Order: sequence, then structure tokens, then C-alpha cells
Amino acid sequence: MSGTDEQAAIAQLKRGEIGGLSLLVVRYEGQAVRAAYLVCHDLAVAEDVVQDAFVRAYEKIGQFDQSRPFAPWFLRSVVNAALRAATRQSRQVDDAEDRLAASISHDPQPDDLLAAAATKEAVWAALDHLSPQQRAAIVLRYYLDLSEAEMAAQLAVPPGTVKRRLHDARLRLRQLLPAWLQPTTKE
Amino acid sequence: MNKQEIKSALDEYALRATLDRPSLGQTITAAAELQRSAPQPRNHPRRTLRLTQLATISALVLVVSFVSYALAPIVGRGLAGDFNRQEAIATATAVADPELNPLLWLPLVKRAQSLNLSQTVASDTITLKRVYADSNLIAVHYTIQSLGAHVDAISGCANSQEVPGSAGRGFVATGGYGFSLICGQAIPTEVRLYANDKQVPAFTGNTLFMDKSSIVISLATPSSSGYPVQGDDGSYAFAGSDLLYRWQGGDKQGERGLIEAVSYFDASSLHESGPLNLRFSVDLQPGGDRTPMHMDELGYVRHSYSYRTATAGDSRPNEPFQYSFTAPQVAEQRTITAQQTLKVNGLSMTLDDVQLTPVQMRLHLRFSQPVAASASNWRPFADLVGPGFATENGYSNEYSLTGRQGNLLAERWERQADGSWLYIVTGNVYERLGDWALTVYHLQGGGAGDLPGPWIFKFNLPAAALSSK
Repeated sequence: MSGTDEQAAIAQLKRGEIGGLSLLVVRYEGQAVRAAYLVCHDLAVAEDVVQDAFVRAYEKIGQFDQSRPFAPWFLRSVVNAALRAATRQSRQVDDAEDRLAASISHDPQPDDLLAAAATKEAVWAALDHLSPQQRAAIVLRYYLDLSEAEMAAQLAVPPGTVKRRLHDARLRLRQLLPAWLQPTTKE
Repeated sequence: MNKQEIKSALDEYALRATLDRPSLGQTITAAAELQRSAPQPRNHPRRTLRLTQLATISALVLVVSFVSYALAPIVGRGLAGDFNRQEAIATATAVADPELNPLLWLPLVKRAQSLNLSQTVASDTITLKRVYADSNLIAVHYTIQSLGAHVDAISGCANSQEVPGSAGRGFVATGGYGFSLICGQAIPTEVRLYANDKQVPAFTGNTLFMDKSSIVISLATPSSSGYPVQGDDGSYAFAGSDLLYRWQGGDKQGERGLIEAVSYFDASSLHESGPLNLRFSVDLQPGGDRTPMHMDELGYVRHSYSYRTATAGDSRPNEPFQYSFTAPQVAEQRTITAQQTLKVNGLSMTLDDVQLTPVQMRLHLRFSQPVAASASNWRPFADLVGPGFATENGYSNEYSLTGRQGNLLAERWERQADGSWLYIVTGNVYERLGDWALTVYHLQGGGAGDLPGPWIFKFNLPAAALSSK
């Protein structure tokens, strides 16, 4: 499907013609499911999130600025929804996160974020041990190529929170990767 | 790795997990169309649809899980050490008995006592099939059969389809997109168990498990206390509490629908030895035409609610089905004294002991709560891996459908009165002799973030200790 087709599909949707949705689904379903899965680590949840995101996009298409690309708008909403789903699943509470973020002075270097992982297998293993928030940060930054400022806007959190999540993800990866490779120390 | 390599690794990781996944295209389009055309309040169709979404997805999960298992040894090579989670999960799947009713995994069935006690009220019959009891868990397996239950079109069970002679009847909806609704099926609103006249609390998480044709639907509700749950609109509600449902029935009015259910209860507080005098009761409470399972905004079953509030004309008095019977307690149990203390990142953590019954492992863990202004309750994030057995890694313990030989109760953390933690893992664990590892990856401190580990406790279940306490 070309960019022109995509524009036509969106125009169709804006006119209330549901046929345009099929074209967008064909084009973005796979990427959306993968992005959601990376965050929530549950295929059933990821597919549910994506399905709902498409329906929501259909409902909200009137609010979409057609001069802008559809993919970032849609995929960010998918990641956001996946994060909500994963967070609900893990029942984590983040209400004090912003306060903590403000106290953290680390300035993460994005390219260093997964520096601890020398191989793709190491990345995969480490992903299993990140929190949903940290995974969402990774996905937005590395999978969807968002800047930290865009991430903060997308996640509706202060920039400090984004910095903190990225920082936490990097720390955790560094801690976890050696842990799988070295015996533990008994006190 | 550079940014592009990381992106590529992420893409491949996700691709492996989503391999061979059929498209959601038709379902999405149909959902959008129904959303557009539905005359009901906005949330109605979406909530109904989500159930079917999950039906579709659950089926896909089975397919993808199979592929994942096949790939597991390859994927797992990156994990060094004695315990490989991926291999353990793959092995756990391999030992599942394909002939086994997934509601009742093997050790429970082997040791359960047959009951076959039936009672009929109006057009509903509840039959207690079997009971299992040990010092930690009591499980009651029963069926609920409703005359008139049938499969209906995806448009829903209309008011006119109420079962004759029964003013108002709950139905279980699995409808939409090729999965029809189940109408006229009575469902329990509350179950209770008394052992020697003492009420036994319902055990652990809540899972609804239904089957229609080859489609397996696994649903979870979050409340551990169970029934009843009020709907968003304050109307009639139903929520599963430690029940596993499997529905069987035909597509014609007058055919009997059948739900299989297992209720689980935590017997650890009973401290009883010898046979238990048990009293089990089930309420079947009609609520008019309703879809009892409501999907929340995230697609999970949180609770259910009526499309319309039950009226006096719909109601009939609670007529709990009550059964009294005696069940022997399975005596097999063992305790492994671990007494392992590990200190990681300045925090000492102790695994005191591991208690086993044929269907459950309980691990007692102690640590001093880290002091943090913004967190008063740090809880472990962990998994447990043993021969052919692996739990999820903490985040998704209630939703897993894969593996576990039908064990949908999965794992649960409970904080004890003395501040220690109990990690309860329900499943086929008793005869899995060999090396086990409990890995506490980090402590979750709510808003205070995480306190990193890992603390990795290793213990062995030797053959010689079997059948000894």
C-alpha cells in the first residue's frame, strides 16, 4: 500500500466509510502487535490492545490531522494502551514516580541504553526482566524512534520520568545480564 | 549494540512471539462496524466484543504458544546456569496429559475422591463430581446443567429467550465473530465451603475457563474475595471466584447446557487432621437477561453486569444447592528446610523452608523491609523454576493459559502477619524431584521504584524424602 493509498484510506474513514480501515489494518497490524507485545509480553493482551486501538482510531479519526503521518500517531497510542494494560496486569503503582524522577540527576545517553547487551539474545533475555514502564520506554525510544521529549508528551509524564525510566532500564539490564552468567554469592 | 541493532533485536524478539498469527482484520472491521451501528450505550458492544476478542486471541495463543515451545530451546540458549526457564517451560508442556481435562490436572484427579452428588432446583442441576483435600488446598469439582441452555446468534440472547418457567436467567456470553452466545445457562453467583463448620476462604486468583468447540477461552478476574461484584451501573453482577468454567451444550432450545467448574479453597488455616466434614453450597441467582462477563477497558474480565437491572419479577429466592459429605485429607506432604540467606546489594533475604503438598508448593521468604519514605511495602518479583516446571516471572501470573498442565491458579504472593512472605505455587510440583531455583529479581516498592537483586535460592527435592513430612 502506497502513501497515497494510505491517505485515501484515511480520507475514506473521515467520510465514515469503514472500508478504509481494512487498508490500515493490513499495513499496520503486524507492527502494532509487535510493539504492543514488546511492552506487555502477552500476545493475547497485545492483540486485544491493537484491536481496540484500531477501533479507537476509527472512532477518533476525525481528530487526526491528515497532513501528518498515520503510523506514529497510531503506534504511539498502541504503546500507550499496551503500557496501561501491562501496568494494570502487574498492578504496579507509580504515583510517587514523578517525585523520584525529579531527584534523579542522571542524564542517560540513549545509544548507551542497551550497551550491556552485546548480542540480540542478551537483549531478549534482559527484556523479560524489565518492568512494563521500562519496556515501554525502550519501545518508544528504539522501536518507534521517539525522542525523549516526544516520549514524555506521548506518555503524558514529565521529561524527568522518561529519563528515569530509561535510566532504570539501563541499570536493570546491566544488573541482570551478569546475574545470569555468574553464580550467586551466599552470605 | 548500536541503535539500529537494538531495534532489529527488538523486532526479531517480537516477531518470534507473534509468528504465524492470523490477522485480526475481519474482527477489527466487524468490531468497528458494530461500534458504529450499535444502538446500545457506547460501552455495551465493545464490552461484549472484547470477550470474543479474547476468545479469538486465546485460540491464537495456543497456536503461538506451540510454536514458541518449539523455539524455546533455541531462544533459551542465551540463559546460562543450571536452570533454564525456557527449557523448563517446554518440558512442562511436554509432560501434560493430553487426555486430561484441563480443569483438573493429574495429581489432583489421581487423589480426588469421587462424589457424584446431584441436586436439581427448577431446571438446574448441580452435580458434585469429586473433591480433593489436603492440608493446604481443597478443590471441589462440579457441573451445572441447565435445561434450555443453548447457543444463539451473535446478536445476543434477547429477552424473549428466557427459559420458560424461570423468570430471568443468566447466560454466559462468548459471542461475536464466529463465537456464538450461550443463552439460558445458569451460573453460580456464590459458592461457599465449610469444613467442620468453619468457613474455608476461597483460594488465590480468579479464573474463568470456558470451552466452545475447539476454542478455549481463558478469562481472569482480579478480585480474590469473589462474589458478588457490582457492575459499573450498580446493576446485577457476577464475578468468578476461583472457579474454572467449561461449557458444553448444543445450539437448540431445550438442549442442556453444562458448565464444569472447580472451586478452590485455602485450607491452610484449618489445622485439621483426618477426614473433613465438608458442606458445600452454590447459589444460582438469576438476573434477567444479562451478559455476566464484562470486559473492562483493557480487555480483561473484571466483573460482569446486567444490561438491565433485575426486577422483582425476574428474581426468585436464593435457593442454594447444599451438599454435605466427608472427604479424606491427602496425607502426602513434605517440608524442605532451606535456611538460605543471601545478601545482594546490601539486603539480606532468607528462604526459610519449602512446603509441598501434591498440588502445591509454598515457599517462606523473609527480609527486612527497606526503609523508604515513599514505600512501606516492598514485595518480591520472582519466578520459580524446577524440573519441567516454571512459573511466569511475576507480572502475568493470573492470565497465563500456556502450559502448567491446566493449572490456571498459577502463583501468588501473600504477605504474612509477621512481615514475611509466602510464595504459593499451585501445580504438579510434588514429584518433580531434582534442583529448583527461586529467583527474586527485585523488590517492588510501589512508587519508590524497584530495589534490584537478584537473589537466587537453590534447593533440591530428593527422592528419599517423598511421602515424609
